[in-house]
Amino acid sequence: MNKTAAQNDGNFNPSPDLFVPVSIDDQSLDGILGRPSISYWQDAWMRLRRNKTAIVSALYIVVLSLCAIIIPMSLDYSHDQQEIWNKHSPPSFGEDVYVDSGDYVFQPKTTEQVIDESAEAAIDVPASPKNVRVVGEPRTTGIEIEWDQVSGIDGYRVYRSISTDTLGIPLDDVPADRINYFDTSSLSKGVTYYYVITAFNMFGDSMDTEILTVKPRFAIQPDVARAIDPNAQPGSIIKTKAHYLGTDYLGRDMLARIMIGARVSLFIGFAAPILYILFGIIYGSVSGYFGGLVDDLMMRITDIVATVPELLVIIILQVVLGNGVTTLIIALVAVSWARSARQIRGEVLRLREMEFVHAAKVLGTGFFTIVARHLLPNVMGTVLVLLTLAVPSAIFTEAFLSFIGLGIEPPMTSWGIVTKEGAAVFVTYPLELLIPSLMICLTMLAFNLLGDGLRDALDPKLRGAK
Amino acid sequence: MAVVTLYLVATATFILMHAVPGNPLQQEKAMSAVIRQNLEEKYGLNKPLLQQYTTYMSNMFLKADFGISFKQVNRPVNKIIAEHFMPSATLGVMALFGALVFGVILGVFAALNRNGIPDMFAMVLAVLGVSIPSFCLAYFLQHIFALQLGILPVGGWGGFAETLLPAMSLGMIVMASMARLMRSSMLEVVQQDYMKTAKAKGLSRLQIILKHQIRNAVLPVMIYFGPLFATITTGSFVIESIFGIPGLGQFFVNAVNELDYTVIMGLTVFYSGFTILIILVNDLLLAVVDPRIRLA
Repeated sequence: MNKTAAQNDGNFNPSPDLFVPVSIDDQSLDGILGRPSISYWQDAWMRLRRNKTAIVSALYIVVLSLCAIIIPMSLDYSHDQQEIWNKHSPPSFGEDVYVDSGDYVFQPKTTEQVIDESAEAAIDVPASPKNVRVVGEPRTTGIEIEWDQVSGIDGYRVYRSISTDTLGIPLDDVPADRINYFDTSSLSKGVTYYYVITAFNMFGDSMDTEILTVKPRFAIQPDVARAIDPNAQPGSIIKTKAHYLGTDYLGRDMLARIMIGARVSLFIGFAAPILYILFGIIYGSVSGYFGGLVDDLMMRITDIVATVPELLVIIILQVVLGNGVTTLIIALVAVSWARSARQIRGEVLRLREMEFVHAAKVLGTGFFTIVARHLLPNVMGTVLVLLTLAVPSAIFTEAFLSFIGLGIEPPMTSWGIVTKEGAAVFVTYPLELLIPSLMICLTMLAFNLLGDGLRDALDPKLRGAK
Repeated sequence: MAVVTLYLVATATFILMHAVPGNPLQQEKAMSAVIRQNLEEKYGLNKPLLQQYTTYMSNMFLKADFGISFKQVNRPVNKIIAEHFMPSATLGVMALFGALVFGVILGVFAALNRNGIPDMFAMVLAVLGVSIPSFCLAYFLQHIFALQLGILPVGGWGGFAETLLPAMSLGMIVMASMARLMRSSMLEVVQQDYMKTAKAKGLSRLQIILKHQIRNAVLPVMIYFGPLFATITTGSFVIESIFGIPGLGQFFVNAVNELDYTVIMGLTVFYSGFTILIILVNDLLLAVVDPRIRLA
């Protein structure tokens, strides 16, 4: 009360007994400031925790990383183990497969070629073979087809298609004196095949052909079966190994490929940004801290690095260092460091003019101490956000490069390679592109959402906002 | 300034290119010494590197002549660029400006209905847009619109219909990030004092949104627009090959693989020049939108 009076006459002399000493960790101060006193990072962490999407994203990333480590070890497949008889398998927990006897020998059936005078005299394409039929049980190990003889022709042509709209590809030509054919060329289970047998002479293929519809039974040769189950007997039924996400065009397990791919993609995705941001921090803080001519010169260098085409640098590095994960990481660092250096330099430039930096300089603190104690802790927020957003872009670039054949070399795999191989068969087996695309999308999504959450949490302007 | 940057880019590319072991002639089948000598003479490869450099640079900057291709025998690089630039440029410009227009509309739409269903829809679309690689999107779009529905051509080049799917695949990422930027920028502008002034003046809601909110909000979005152009040019190679577009992308990738010196140089300088031009156009546009920016 008398304080106001004292202030009014301009001569306020505080007596020492107005002051009470407090210690730094005095909790009673919290109430005066209106909220508990917490550090910047504690506050950021609290706000990040409140952001459900960011936390879910972070969990997803952790789970994916663990899966990438554990799942390939627990599978009894490697990423490049082929089951050529089990291509494009849909997701399954193991299927029943018939074990062939393996001792079947195809006997070409020959007939006496009848010279038909009337046919010989014809000046048109011959008639089609009639009564096209399957002999025995059609299996994926082989389908035997037989037909009635047509006389006076040059031979038969066997076509196989997977739809009735087209004739399909000509499998083989059969000489005129034979009336059967044994097809063993890459038959897949669960597919319906349409066979067409034409007779041909010098005028061309016969018209009005019969279509033979065959859906072969899933079967494997005994030696293949013994690789799965050593006790497999010919003629019995065994179970194939489980392919939880199916197999690709060489019969390789998709789950193993995607998880090994995740290892490669995530490793590149983390290693490259960490390296180039680290480099960016060093470059950016030197450039920003010294300013002037040094800054000008260093920034012109980044300008040039940023405009040289990325592809050129990457390809040149690959020629010099060879294909592989290391090359890809070096290449990514080489093309991306300039951008992060610029961002960090901007941040340092802003901080450099802050009072606490001036104060430190006045106290005679050296360059390294100022950077390490005053500048770096303050750019950490920016760096963290930069990093979370750089990871998806590195994974993207890796996928893109592998997609155009400049990244990881097969048989090693990565998400880019799995996507590329899936894209080639997308129309017939959409799942093989959908699954890796979904993995890339989800991972990008998780990193982007986490990055957004971090940016919001670390932005002091949003402090206290809900 | 632009010319200096171009010159430095050209020099850096020249050095990088010649740092790669081998030369464009070596990769071919074994040839006799006489033929090799003649070819080297024709392309000037027998001269010292410094002389090659000065000849090349003076031809390029003074006569705008990029030389002739090594691999596509006797085909001038200028001609390659002239013939194949239009598809690439059309595609890139369509993708970018489509992305800008739709991104801004989506962002405005989301911000005006903040926390409503349209906002959620727009933001889900925007987040999905930045998460899907352009080549995956290209295959999906091609499958849905061309193969299943049959309303757009599968690929090729010619009419307007052919440009839609590739432009969409290429522009999706840009559109999504534009929409997100626009939304947050709109929400920031709403809190400004001049918005209250406008309301106090008795302007209609539409006038406030069009003249004050959008016009101010679009500025920070436009600043990001120029640099995004670089993203587009890298992505275009895959998109061009998926849709069978006769653009420049394939020439560049092949040239780098085959070490076709003149084509690499020509395309690099051309691309960089084009990027610089786009950034310049963007700056000019920015000045039109924002009268506070004075053109020096």
